[in-house]
Amino acid sequence: MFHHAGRSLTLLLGLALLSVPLVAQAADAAPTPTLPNGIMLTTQDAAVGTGPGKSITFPVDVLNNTTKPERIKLSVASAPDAWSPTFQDRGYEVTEVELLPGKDNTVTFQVTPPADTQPGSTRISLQGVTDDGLNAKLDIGVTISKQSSSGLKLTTDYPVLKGAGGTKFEFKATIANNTGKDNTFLLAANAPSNDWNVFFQPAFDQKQISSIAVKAGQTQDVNVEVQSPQLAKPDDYPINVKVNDDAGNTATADLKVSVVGNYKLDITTPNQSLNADATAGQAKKVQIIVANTGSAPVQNISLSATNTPTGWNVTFNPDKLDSIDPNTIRQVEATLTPAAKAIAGDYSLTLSATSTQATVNKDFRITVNTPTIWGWVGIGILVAVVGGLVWLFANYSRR
Amino acid sequence: MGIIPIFRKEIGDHLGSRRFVILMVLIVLASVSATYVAAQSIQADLTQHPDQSFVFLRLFTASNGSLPGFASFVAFLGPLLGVAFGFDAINSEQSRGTLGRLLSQPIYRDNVINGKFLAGLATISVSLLAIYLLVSGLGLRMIGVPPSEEEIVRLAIFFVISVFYVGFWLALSTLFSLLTRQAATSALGALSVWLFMAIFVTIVSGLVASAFFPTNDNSPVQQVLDNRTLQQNIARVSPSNLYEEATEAILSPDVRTITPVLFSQAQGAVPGSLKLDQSLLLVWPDVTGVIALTVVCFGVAYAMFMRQEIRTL
Repeated sequence: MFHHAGRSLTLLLGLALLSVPLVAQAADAAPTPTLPNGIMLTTQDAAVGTGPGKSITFPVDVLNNTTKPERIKLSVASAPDAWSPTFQDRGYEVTEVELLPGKDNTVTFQVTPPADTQPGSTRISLQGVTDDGLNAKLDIGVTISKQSSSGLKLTTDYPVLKGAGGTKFEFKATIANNTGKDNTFLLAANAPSNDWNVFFQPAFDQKQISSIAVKAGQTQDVNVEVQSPQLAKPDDYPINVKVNDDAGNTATADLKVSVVGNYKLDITTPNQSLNADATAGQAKKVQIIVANTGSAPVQNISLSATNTPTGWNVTFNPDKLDSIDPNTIRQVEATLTPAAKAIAGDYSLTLSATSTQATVNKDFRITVNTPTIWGWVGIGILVAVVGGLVWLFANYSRR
Repeated sequence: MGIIPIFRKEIGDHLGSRRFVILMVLIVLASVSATYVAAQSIQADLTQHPDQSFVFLRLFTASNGSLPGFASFVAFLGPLLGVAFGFDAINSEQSRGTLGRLLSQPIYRDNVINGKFLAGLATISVSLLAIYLLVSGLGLRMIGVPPSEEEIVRLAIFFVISVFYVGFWLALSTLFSLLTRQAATSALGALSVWLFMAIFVTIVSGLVASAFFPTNDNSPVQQVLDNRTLQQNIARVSPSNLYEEATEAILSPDVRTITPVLFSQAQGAVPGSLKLDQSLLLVWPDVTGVIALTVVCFGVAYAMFMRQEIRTL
């Protein structure tokens, strides 16, 4: 063994004084543990996993550990049909390797599991045979995973969107073309029903598209616009988006639109007018109607007044409503008390119905009237004065 | 014999008198120029903001800064009209010795003063009405916006208040004509009251208010408010100020307060015009004051005249 190694060392030295790194390499090889006499096939990653349709390569090291040159025939002892196993080196297919004693060569073994390969593990057996009866075997394992091996991918960050009926949902999807060649991909989606409208738009553009070109190795963003009908019932609506090309590459994305109830409140009055008259300093009761104009019940509504002028007081009876069903109304009595010193004329304040689901603000115009008490006092004074004049006439007329 | 002959005679005297012609020329000149200026500024404003309400009323209030509005002219010159027809009502009859002769006729004594006062009031009303119509016509011709119903009602109220206001000065000068024998003295007395009420009350009220509530730039709000309120209340002694306050709210529906207010009271207020009853209610104390002053002033003159010893006249 050492003898052989020593000889090859001298030979190498003679050959390659030109190359110092080569010498160093050979010097490193010197303390290599003893290898069995004969030929060998080895590979480092002896069992790997991949997806269907994706070729896989193993660098196979062929070693001649005999004392004479050997011609080694490479063959595949067992491999699944249609996996097209080949040995390659420098771009050529290799069937035989000629090696000097103690020399090795690396050839590439390639298999391509077909796209329809079922998931699972497979053993592939490689062998090398010499004319003088030496042989070597190498078992490698390939595990086919479920994952699509297609180089086409469709991904989205937010596959589920939530909103009220009538909303336009906008999904952002990314098409990744790893098929290895530039191609145009057809876009298709199934809408939950006819009154839904699903269409595709390129990112940053308003055009509706049905196909999109993606260069090999690149990605392209596509907006999936889903226009839900106004009257969509609260539910989850799946939307399947599919991308495919003429080579049979397909990718799908399962999107989902979660339609929630449409929460909408409105405030009005029985006669639709949003104004009221009030007297300064005196409470005025105003009937308010809180209506649910949405498609789902609104809960826990509290009534309040904002932007009230200083010194004003606004209360509601009741000031909280448990729940209002869609298309129903509730009557609330608001009591407005303008400040005692409020000047005559129009004031504005905002009445609000607030819940966590919906909020409505309505500006009301309150016309403040002056209390008429001083008007009557003035008339009283005038009556007294005129009465005094009449008394004068009666007493001094001397008739 | 009733009041009618005296009334007719007095009206005839007034309308034919030179002082009537002089005063009318003065007032018509002032009114027409005020209206002309007002209409011009309204025209300019209308081209910029065509959608406005109560445009017609602004004919009576608008000014361009150099010339006061029509209402201010009435407030200032109206007293002259009243004084002119009253300052020699009684004492000129006395000095000519015609009062005794008049009273020797079968005429009730109160008919004399009532007839004279009513004749003065009628002359004033007719003059004012003529001027108002003149102003309305000129303004209508210039701005081309007809008055709305509410504007007509507001103008009617303005007219009534104006008649009472001028009537006050008539009653006051009639009172002076009873107090003094000389017509010139009576006229001077009435005119000095007018000058005091029109000009000096405002100055005096400011002085008094500042004495009670001195203010400067850093004064607290309440102090300033007290100062202004006191000043305004003192100034209300003057019928001229009462009249101006009253007409301001009647002729400008967007006037919402005539007294100083705190900012907190105006917070949340939306610009808008007041309804007629609210405008009237706002200045009702002023209107009451003008009417009551007129009635009281005439009442005093009446009582004095009736109690005078005729033979000494």
